[in-house]
Amino acid sequence: MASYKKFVLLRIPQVVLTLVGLSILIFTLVRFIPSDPARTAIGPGASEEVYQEYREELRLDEPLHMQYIGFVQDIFNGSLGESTRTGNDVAVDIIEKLPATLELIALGFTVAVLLGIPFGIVAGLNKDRLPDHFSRFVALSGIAFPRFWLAITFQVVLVSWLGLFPLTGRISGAAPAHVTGFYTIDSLIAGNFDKFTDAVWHLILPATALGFSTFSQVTRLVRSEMIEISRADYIMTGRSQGIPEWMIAYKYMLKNAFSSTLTVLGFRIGGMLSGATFVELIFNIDGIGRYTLASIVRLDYNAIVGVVLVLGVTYLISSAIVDMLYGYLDPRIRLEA
Amino acid sequence: MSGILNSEMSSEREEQIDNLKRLWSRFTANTLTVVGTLIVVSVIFAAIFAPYIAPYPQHAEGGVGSVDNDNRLAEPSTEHLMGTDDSGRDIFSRVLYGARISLQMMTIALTLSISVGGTLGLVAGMKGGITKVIIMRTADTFMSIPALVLAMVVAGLLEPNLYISMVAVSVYWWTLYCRLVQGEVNSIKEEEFVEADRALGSPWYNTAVKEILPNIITPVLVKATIDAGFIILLAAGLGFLGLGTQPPTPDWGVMVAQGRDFVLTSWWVSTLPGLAIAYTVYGFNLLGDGLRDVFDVEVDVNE
Repeated sequence: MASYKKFVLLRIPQVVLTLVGLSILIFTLVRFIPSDPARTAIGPGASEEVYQEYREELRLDEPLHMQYIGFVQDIFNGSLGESTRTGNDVAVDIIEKLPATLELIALGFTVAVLLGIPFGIVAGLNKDRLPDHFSRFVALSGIAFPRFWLAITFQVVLVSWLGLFPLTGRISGAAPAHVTGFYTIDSLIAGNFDKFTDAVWHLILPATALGFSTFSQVTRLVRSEMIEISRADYIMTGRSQGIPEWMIAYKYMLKNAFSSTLTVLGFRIGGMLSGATFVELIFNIDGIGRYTLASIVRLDYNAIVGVVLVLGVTYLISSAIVDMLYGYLDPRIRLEA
Repeated sequence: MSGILNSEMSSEREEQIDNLKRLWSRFTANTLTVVGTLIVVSVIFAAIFAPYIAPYPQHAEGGVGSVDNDNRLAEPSTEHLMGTDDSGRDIFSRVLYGARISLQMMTIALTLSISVGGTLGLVAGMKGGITKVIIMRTADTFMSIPALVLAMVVAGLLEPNLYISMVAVSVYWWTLYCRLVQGEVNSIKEEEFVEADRALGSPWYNTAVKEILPNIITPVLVKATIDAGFIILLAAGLGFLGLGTQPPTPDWGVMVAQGRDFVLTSWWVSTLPGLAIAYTVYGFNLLGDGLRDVFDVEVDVNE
């Protein structure tokens, strides 16, 4: 256990260091561009006074390192600076937009895992036979088709032609009373089951479009895991002792399938967060992806820095957690670190 | 004497030929690899000969007759294989020209990423110590931002166009080659032929170019083939969001975006150009997977 502690303790400063690097990187990136952020924010025709006010608020007249120190101080006070587009603190904006995106990602992951594990197992157990070829083709499609194409094609086929799902939005009619911001959870808290099913119904297409590439990676990984394990000594031993095949698959293989799925999820969180931009745009969902896009298009500096920082932190923390879980499950990983 | 030398040389050549033959038969043994190759070749063919194959080249090249207002949103037919868009332009012709944009963008972005990332990875691997720590930590930092978001920020802050989107993609992608090359250098640095060169007093950069570089070209090229598809996807994504190539350039991502307003009425405007993206990505992926098996190298696949 001592070595595990050491493994975790080594990992934490790494994450912190990368975080500091990340904040410096994005901070400088945003400040090194040709246009004047204050001018962009207020638009043409504003008075010189308003302009100076904005410059002061964005600390643009201070030297770069002082700007950065001020920015870090603000973070410790729970602020990411004011968004020039919405007028709110960026932290407030992000907290407001995040639930819609997290809801999408959660369901996207669920779809990916529920489809990916069985596909991977069937493919792995039938290596080089028809089911294997079929599921590999489907898995490759998950990589080849852009998310935005999937989302639009779902709208064409499943909404426009077949009329099975709502076209856009998160819910029909009014949103449930705000508690968490997750419409699915809020509607359950309000005890309104109709609203809950309606919210889930709205989520299915965007979540599937978002999770499809993760599904294909889960399939790939579970498949190769299956092939590797079925050759392992302990499985051979089990077989020779007459343990039934379904029991082997259930007891040993499934367990491994889950732990490999875990890594995929850790790696995919970044891709899911950014991929949400397409899905939110196409399905008209007011989440963090659309917020990012709007901030970039309008050159909203504080918002860009804030959003990138939050996405980076989410990615770093989730991959560190996956590393630690993995190190816990498989002692060999610890030795390599 | 010369007879012995000759026979040695010819046997060496025979060995080389045998080797190539073996690689070739391994390459063609896998149907999927062959399919991938055919797809990639067909995309390159379309890009080169677009002006000759496209039924309405003027709809993609702009200028006189680049729109046809009498033929707006025409359904796919024998006259317009993929229908027409809201300016009456033949979508099939524009998709063919789109191959030019995608391949051009992918080639330059890959070249940029490999030269910057590869050089830094080589230096990190050869020098080690603090140099390595600084380079690899910097790469980690760039990698902690999702590829799409980093590319969006860079493209948005500069000016969204074809050339900036190549740079925007490379700002993320160099890290992958930095990592790959650094790892490869590490794994062969201790080999005898490298040690021998160093013992002879060669400076590290000489050893790197003479002994290390030839040994890491294969994994880099295999990864580049697989990455080609992903870079095309990423660039199309930028185009779709309005942060990449700008209309009226026939970029595949831009074309999908333009059809969004007609999803309920004219399904072909968005969906058919998107198929071109998927087709190309399939091709590069299958080809890359095949090359990986043939040369028996291990490379990570990142998206």
